[in-house]
Amino acid sequence: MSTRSTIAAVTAGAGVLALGWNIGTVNSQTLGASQPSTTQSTTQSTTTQSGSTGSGATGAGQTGRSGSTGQSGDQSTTSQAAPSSSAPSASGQASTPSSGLKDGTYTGQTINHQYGSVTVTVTVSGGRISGLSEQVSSDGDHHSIRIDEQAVPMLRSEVLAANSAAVNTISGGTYTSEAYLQSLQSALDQAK
Amino acid sequence: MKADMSRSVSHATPDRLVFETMGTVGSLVAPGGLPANLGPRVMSVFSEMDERFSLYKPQSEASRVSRRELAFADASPAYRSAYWVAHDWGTLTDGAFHPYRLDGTIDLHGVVKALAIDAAADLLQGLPDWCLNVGGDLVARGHDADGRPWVAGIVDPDDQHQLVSQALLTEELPAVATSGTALRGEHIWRLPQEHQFRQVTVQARDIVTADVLATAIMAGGRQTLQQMQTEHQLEVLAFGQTGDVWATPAFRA
Repeated sequence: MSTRSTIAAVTAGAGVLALGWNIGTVNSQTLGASQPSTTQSTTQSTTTQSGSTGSGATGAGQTGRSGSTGQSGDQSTTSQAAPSSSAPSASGQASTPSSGLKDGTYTGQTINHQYGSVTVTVTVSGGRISGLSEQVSSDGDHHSIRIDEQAVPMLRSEVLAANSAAVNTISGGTYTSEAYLQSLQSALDQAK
Repeated sequence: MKADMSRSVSHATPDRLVFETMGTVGSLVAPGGLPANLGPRVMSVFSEMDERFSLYKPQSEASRVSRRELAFADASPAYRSAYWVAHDWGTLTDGAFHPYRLDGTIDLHGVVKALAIDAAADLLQGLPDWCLNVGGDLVARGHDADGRPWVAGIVDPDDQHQLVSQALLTEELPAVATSGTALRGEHIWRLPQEHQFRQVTVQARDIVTADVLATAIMAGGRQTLQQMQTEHQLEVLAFGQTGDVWATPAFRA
């Protein structure tokens, strides 16, 4: 289950520019990016959910561990409006072609979104974007649901089967002490 | 000790303790052996919680609050703390989980067992490998006696003597709870039966989350299932009334 293919699809080609990003500084020159015309439009949300600690409030005086898992799920939304093409070009550079981009390699800001984070690097040649690569990372603490992690309906035959030989312990609806004696758990507890 | 099995559930071996509590049975397994006194201390956690919260004990704090003999404001910090845990989960689940009975009295049974397991887990932190299962709510750390990750079998909702699936416990998601038709009859059902789940297993980061959400998803159906997934890191296996099954990736073949 890799989010990379998802990220790649999302950020493929010039579609990444729809997320909005600044071209970073190169050689002390800050450049604005003009948006090249794109034929591909991507629609993805760039807002992320701020994570809530899994077990919610534990109340005063709670000594249990619920709630202390303490992941900071905050994912700042760093998407920005697409840079204006009127952003000043860097001083001291040679006159540039109409796109306003100087040849070179530029790394954009890291953008956090609901699938993880992505950092895009763009290569400009002849004043036009000639290459694009993305670096993706999945934040291990990020527990917003990914599309492929959702519960989906299926047939019982598609459910992962139990390997009785590997099972250590049993989870089922709570049983009474009397019912326990006939339960699978009691069989495990009496083994060996 | 096994000669007593016909009369008594409880027994102990160097690496396994089985004890009755809260109307059900707890099993504590420690492949490296249970240190002296740890077993009794774990059992004390449960007996103290039961003494305080059991509605089957007329003189428990919970019973006295229920009868209005004890004002909530005068209840112990432990009682009030448990109440607020349950109350806040009611908010987080949009009321799909709620700590009240039909007559409006506070009913904390939905969190008490899990809170006790949580407190017992704190005692076990020094052990590298252990598995604690109380009435089907379980949490484990480390590995089993064969050095493998703990695996929890999930009971078939159609046949309690069969397993329908299994959960591989991880460091991230070490807790599993299953909610089934054992939900008390006084539970307030929000959905018509055809929209309910028959059985819900939740694997979560801690046992209170797993237990509460298994109950909430049972009561709240698909909408609660979808909502809880977006807000909590979970694996879920839920059986509907008409043969449908909902499963996150961990439970798919």
